[in-house]
Amino acid sequence: MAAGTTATRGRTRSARGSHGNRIVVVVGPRDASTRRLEAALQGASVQFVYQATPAALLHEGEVAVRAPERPWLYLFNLAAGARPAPRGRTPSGRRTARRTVRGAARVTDVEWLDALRAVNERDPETPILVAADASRQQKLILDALDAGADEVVGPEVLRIPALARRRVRSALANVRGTSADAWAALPTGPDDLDDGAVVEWEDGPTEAEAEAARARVRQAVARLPTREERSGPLAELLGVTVPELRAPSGRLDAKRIAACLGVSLNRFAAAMPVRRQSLDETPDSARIQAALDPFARALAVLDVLLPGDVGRQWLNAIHPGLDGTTPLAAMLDGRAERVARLLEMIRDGSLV
Amino acid sequence: MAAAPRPPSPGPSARIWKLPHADAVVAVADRLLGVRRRRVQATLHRAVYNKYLHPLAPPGGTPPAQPLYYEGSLSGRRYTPRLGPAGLYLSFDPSTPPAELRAVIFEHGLPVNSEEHDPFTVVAVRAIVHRVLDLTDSATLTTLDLGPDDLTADWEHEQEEYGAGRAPMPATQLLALAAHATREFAGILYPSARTDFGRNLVVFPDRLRRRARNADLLEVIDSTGRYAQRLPP
Repeated sequence: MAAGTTATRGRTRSARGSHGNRIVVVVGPRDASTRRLEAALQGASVQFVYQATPAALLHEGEVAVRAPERPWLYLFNLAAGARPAPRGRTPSGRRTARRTVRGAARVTDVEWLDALRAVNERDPETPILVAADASRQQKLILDALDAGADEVVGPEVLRIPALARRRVRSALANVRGTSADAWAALPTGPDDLDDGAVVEWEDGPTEAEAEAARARVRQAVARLPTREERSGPLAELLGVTVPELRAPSGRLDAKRIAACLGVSLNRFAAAMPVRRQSLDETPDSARIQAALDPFARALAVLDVLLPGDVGRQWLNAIHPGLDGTTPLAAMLDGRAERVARLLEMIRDGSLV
Repeated sequence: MAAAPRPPSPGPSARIWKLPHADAVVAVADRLLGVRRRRVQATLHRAVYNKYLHPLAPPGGTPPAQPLYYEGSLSGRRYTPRLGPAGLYLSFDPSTPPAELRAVIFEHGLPVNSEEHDPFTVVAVRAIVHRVLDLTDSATLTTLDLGPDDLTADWEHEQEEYGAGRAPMPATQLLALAAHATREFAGILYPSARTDFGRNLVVFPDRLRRRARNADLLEVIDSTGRYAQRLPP
């Protein structure tokens, strides 16, 4: 049972003298569905009172709930125990499937609906929620709505507390309107995001799992890439092939990259760790591959993102994310990695 | 049996984030194992330029669109150290991904300026991810000795400083590294640094569980099947 809610089993054990609680009368057993609703209404000062069967709810045709206060909500748990069952004849003479409620007498659909109708007639200001499985109980759900049910929750809805609360709110609004206190009393819950997402706490690792995790971390630390490795070239890892920027040796070629950028080799040499003359003599030197790596990655992205002249315009336009310089100037003054990453993040839609 | 070594302590005044790298990973991981985790079940969003969803056909035919492509993060992101672990970045709000693409600039939650841009597609992703570290939770931040400034710091500058050997790894990257190393976290929920209202989720795809009792799922919602992709595959 969720903290903040109480549940009472049986029709005579509901009162605990705690005024101020909202009473949810559950007709049917306490099972996974109702426990989920209890959890969803945590914090709303809700007390659940269970009536095992419709017969337990109705006494000589009257609704006989022994609760400390007037019910705030009825929940008919039709989903409980529903399974294929032999067909029988009801007291009213209509053939219908019989359903088994765990720990209680067999209940027919007609008995459920008669009870629901009776509750709706005698207590029209209290909303009625029905728990049923839409995949198996379509007709019963429609009949329940006809008989006066205000809302229906299925197993999938009850698994998501925020959705379950929405259905309860909907049932309340159906009867009392959204300005009623009952509506306002329902917690939205700290776990409800405005966009309908559900973010719930779950159990953390056990002590044994935590200890195993610590051992894994100690092992992993020894295998982590070093700082130098993390600073190395990435083009190959990222699948950047750029054959047009490579020499016959297969290595990146400084002359080809400079030409692609539209700058002279003289100017390009300023961004390289070797002299201009060395660059001219061996433009695919192994020594400059790491320095050429971000240029190749940037040009590869640019080729797809902004091909042709548009890409060249982008390189030469001041960019607000680069301290008021152009991407090309930033690349040549040692920030090629930053420009490459900027383009890659635009490409990936990365959220930072 | 010999007792397991205690995680390194930074001393009363120093922060665990400033410890030598390996010690910092161990110390952060130790704290992570004491924080609560979240289950995220939501429709998340991601924006990708159309030209990347529909790349020019290479020899051999057009490959299928990969709206959940994430390996580009290996060049470093806020919660993805350079060289990994790789992460897939998703937003809780459909407005945030375009903002992150710089197509729209938000101030106080409102779009105030639009720049010209090529078409892009915002895909909705059905997500069920367990074992998520929640950096929007103040108790978690306190346990980890992290403040809001740590989450919005200039990680790119810090990454460059780290690469040059002048500073420790950015805290957000170190955090992701440690969380991933524990194998006890499949993602990190964090506030957007780009907008003042967005929340994002970075998922470690290689930490998603396929067959566990609490299986994880990321699935692009697309009735046409054109952008169909799911993780784990």
